[in-house]
Amino acid sequence: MDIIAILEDILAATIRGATPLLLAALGEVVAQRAGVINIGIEGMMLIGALFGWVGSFYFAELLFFAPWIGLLIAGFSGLVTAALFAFFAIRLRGDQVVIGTAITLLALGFTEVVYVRLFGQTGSLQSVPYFKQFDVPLLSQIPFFGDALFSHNIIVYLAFLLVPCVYFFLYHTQLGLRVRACGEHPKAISTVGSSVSLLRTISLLFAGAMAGIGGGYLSLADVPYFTPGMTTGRGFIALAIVIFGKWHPIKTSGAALLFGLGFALDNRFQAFGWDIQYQWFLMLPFALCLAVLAGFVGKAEAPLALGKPYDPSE
Amino acid sequence: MPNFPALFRKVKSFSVSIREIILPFFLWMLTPFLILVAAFITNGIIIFLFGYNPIEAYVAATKVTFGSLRGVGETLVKSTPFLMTGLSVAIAFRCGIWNIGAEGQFLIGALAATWFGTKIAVLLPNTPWIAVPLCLSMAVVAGGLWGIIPAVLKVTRGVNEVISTIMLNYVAINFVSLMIDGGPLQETSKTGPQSDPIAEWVFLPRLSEFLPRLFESHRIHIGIGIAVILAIALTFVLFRTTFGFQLRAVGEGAAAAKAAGISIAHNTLRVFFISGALAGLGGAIEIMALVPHRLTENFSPDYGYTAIAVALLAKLHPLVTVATALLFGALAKGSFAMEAEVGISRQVTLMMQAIILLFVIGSSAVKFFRKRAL
Amino acid sequence: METDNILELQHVTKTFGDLVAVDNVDFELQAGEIHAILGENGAGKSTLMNLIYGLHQPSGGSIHISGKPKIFKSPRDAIANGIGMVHQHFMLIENLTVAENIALTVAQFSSRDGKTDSIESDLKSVSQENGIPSKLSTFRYKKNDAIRLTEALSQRFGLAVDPSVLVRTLSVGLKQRVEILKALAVDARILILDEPTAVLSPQEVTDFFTILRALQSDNRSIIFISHKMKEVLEISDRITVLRHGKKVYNGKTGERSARGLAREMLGEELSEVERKQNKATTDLVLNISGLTVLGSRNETAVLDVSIQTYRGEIVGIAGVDGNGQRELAEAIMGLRPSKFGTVEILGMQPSGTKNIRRCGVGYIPEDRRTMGIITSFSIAENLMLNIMHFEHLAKHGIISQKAKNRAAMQLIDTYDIRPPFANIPAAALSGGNQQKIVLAREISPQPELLVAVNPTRGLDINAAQYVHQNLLAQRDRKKSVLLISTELDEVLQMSDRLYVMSRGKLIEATTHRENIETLGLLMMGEAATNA
Repeated sequence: MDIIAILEDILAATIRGATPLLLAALGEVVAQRAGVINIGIEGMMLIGALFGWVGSFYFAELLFFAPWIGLLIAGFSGLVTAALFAFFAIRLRGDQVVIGTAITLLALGFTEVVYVRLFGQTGSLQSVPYFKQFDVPLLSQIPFFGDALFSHNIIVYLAFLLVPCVYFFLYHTQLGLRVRACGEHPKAISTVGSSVSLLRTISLLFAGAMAGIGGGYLSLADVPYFTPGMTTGRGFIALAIVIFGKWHPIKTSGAALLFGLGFALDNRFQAFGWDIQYQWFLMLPFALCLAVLAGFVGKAEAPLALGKPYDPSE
Repeated sequence: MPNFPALFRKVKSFSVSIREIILPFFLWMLTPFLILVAAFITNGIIIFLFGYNPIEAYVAATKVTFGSLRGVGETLVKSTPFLMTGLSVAIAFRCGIWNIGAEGQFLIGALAATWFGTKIAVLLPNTPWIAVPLCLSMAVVAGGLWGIIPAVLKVTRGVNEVISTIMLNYVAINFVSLMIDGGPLQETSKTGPQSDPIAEWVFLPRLSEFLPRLFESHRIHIGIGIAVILAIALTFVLFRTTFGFQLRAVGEGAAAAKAAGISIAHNTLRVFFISGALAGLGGAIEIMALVPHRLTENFSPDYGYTAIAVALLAKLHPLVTVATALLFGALAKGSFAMEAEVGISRQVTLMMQAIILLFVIGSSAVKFFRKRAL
Repeated sequence: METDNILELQHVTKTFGDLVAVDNVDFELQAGEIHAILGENGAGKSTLMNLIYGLHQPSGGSIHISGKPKIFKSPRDAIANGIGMVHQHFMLIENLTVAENIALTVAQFSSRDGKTDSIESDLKSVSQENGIPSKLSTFRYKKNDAIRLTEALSQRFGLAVDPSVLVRTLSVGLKQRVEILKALAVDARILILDEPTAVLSPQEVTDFFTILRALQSDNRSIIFISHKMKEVLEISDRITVLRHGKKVYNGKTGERSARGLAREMLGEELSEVERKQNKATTDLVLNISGLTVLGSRNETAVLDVSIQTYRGEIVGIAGVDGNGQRELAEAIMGLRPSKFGTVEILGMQPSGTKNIRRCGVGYIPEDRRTMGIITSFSIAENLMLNIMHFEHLAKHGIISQKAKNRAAMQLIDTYDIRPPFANIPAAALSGGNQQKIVLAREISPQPELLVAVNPTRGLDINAAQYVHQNLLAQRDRKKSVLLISTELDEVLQMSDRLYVMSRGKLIEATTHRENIETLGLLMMGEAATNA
């Protein structure tokens, strides 16, 4: 393989690897901007992966539409999981860290139980209709970049299109403005007549839906089947991405690409016989995230009210 | 003639102790108990909705866990990592520190024990009396130092420990992978992502070695004893020493503790070390006590996260943690029976743990329990 | 009912549990009037305002706007009825720009009712030549529109502020302007200003008053809450005085002298505590010189303070809340670093709370429930919550339960803590008994110096008297007591020497009862501005 082909391959794999992380992270940006730290994101992704795949499985005869229905169901299942989170975190004002842990454990158990129920202990991998590669007309003809950037499945493009959308939402709509205010000073926003619970719930539901779709990507686009525990910590990586991206959607997409690169190099290093262990690249994002938090690499400022339940009577 | 005044005082002090100690204690224990009942029922309903028979499943689980001496032994073996990580979480949360990093600290402890057992122990051939304690202390130090990292970040840079410990978990997972998959600790044959087994003289002794008749081929090992003794010791430290007093004061009321002359930073560092050390020791015990005595990928089935449920259900009390760890060990053990006999995936235990956690959250939101929770 | 009162409160009462915060208060506000409300800490001023702004709902009585009775379930209702409030702690989002903060409020209300029409037409006249939108979209946040709207508002009301900077970069005075703009952006006809000058420098106050007058000439009404007599006399048209939740005076400004008003505020029922005459000693205990301390927002909270206390005396520091007393006490206790100056205790300069306590300093913090005790701890545990105690009760770090309980029962006996059980949580106790725990713990080791901050706040008369007796006993034992309190009565009764703290500075004062009005004026910053 010549060097161009290798780079092309790595770039393409980076983008594919970054997509599910980006989807989940975009949702998480909004939730954290509203002041909710959702560490149940891993669980929501897993639930999305399962239900997306189940959806596509049951609507398989619709062929082309099956993965789309699957993706919708994935998003919806993530949203329902987030609603559970919202009930405990916003209604009951419980500790968000504990609830997040519970949601992740719940999803790990639940998805496996459902999977085993449907397909048995040793069920062989059930392939379902999935998102096929979609070459963007003309653009995919560009040498090098065509294959690397424009020969992916459609969700990849949609995910990256969502970045400016979320940016627009947060910085150019009134609701986005209120969401940001809500994560900074909930009391202030409630004194001008907004409902903190409502804003936080909406943000959380969005985060859940996005995490669900990100999970759905794994079982409908990345590979056409579901395996229990298939998210392998991607939810937590998304969490790191949000911090690394300093709670900003565009920076977050950059961080997602960086982490996607880690995944891309993961499989390729040994193949190339290079003398660096791939785990270094897997470790890097988390270490970088720590460095950012500690203020060694630029300064990251979390929303001021992040993780604090809002009690209007105080 | 009995000494009435003295007798009266005794009766009176007894009635006071009922009112002051025994009754509150029962009320205090009531919440976890009710949470458990509610969780079992909720979980049962979910199982039922999936088309399994929950009663059959619970009976199968109970039989295999507490139905025989061997079953009890296995339950104890399975409980040990839950107890060690549970204690780790309990002591940290007690001090108001949200250490979500027991998972990573557990792995780093296991890694240290593996390193010692495979590389260093050969320098001390056939000397279990030196090698075993040395190996355990190695894990204590490694886990503790790993725990110190988020503490230092918190004290010096103000980094929130929830995020930093989660991140460190993944650094640890990948670091372990680095070591055993292509790294210096990979097995000599270089076939799979696992280490060599540790040297035989670093194995933790089993009960069957002392009482071969009674415990023949049982897996009960002295690590269980170590864990229980630690639980008792921690209870003593927490409630009977100035160190524990300071630590609880910081956790329950940091501002008041500070005004009393207690240093928040010192206690944060100490508690993180202890918390990490306990989890690390738990990892070492698993390596040293159980076949195959080697570090593998996915060595921990989320012990560090489950530990949060173990500790919170025990209301962060080390002694009660023994009971809740036993319960979680039984769940882990029983899940195999449920899988074999009813067909439900054994991962149902994770769901059960989550439901317990959610009920703990829910209970602290209900006014009646709020006073008694956490 | 026809009145020219834009706002009228009739027999408004608010209770929190047993506490009557506002007691049957009538209040009237006319259009274009600046109405000042005077009162000591805890007189019920803030509660009254929160009732008007919909943050609390009255337990009794009614609120009328332009003669019509209204019920405000939340601030939203109050805003819709033309009420705006500038809180003492600003309700601004620091990490957003000025324009964004304004837009947050405007978009909420501009489309929903006709209230903002007038402001929109106002703005149109200002902005027509530039084509500025007078209204913000409720969906889109257009940065430039928001900036222009903010600019137009600033121009319209003469409140200059840069709309595109982050709020956190602004000075306090400018932040306050943004708060006022926020209220005006939704066309507030009634502005409630809670201690607006507390945070301003004298120059800023002058500017601020100019703004208020402009608003007044715009036929807007202002409720001006303050401690500062001089400012009240300068700016207001009418004055209402509250004491212990009751309205005690209402009249036109100028009808009553400053002294007369101070008397109304403070009341005259001073009870006497029996105290022995005592001879001043010359044994120095606490010696602070040139102490400057920063507050939690990095503002200078204590400025160049020097004070000495001697054995056998109580030195009082009077002053209104938030004038640096808390920071001074925390600096003495080593809980807050000092920027300049030294704190000497018995000739030593210990560092850190632990070492300071070891030198023999006791501390009764102002916030009992967060700094004084740990509510989830038992009485016995709270009684040993002091580095001095638990180190004595322990041998090799192990606390003897017997010693602990014995020590606890002894203190419970001596200080009459009820219920007398060592092992029940402190949360179950009344405020007075919780304070007894703090007293027992801090006084029983016979500290050379006792720093007490608002030691009787929230206590009933008996409990307060008990605290006073204990402080006097400490003095009679030839120990030194530094009493920092916002209760003027208390410091007057208790102190051998008296200081007043105002804006971080200490001013020496006399303890003569006849001078109560002078003291009141000192506390309200009179002397500080005269000096």
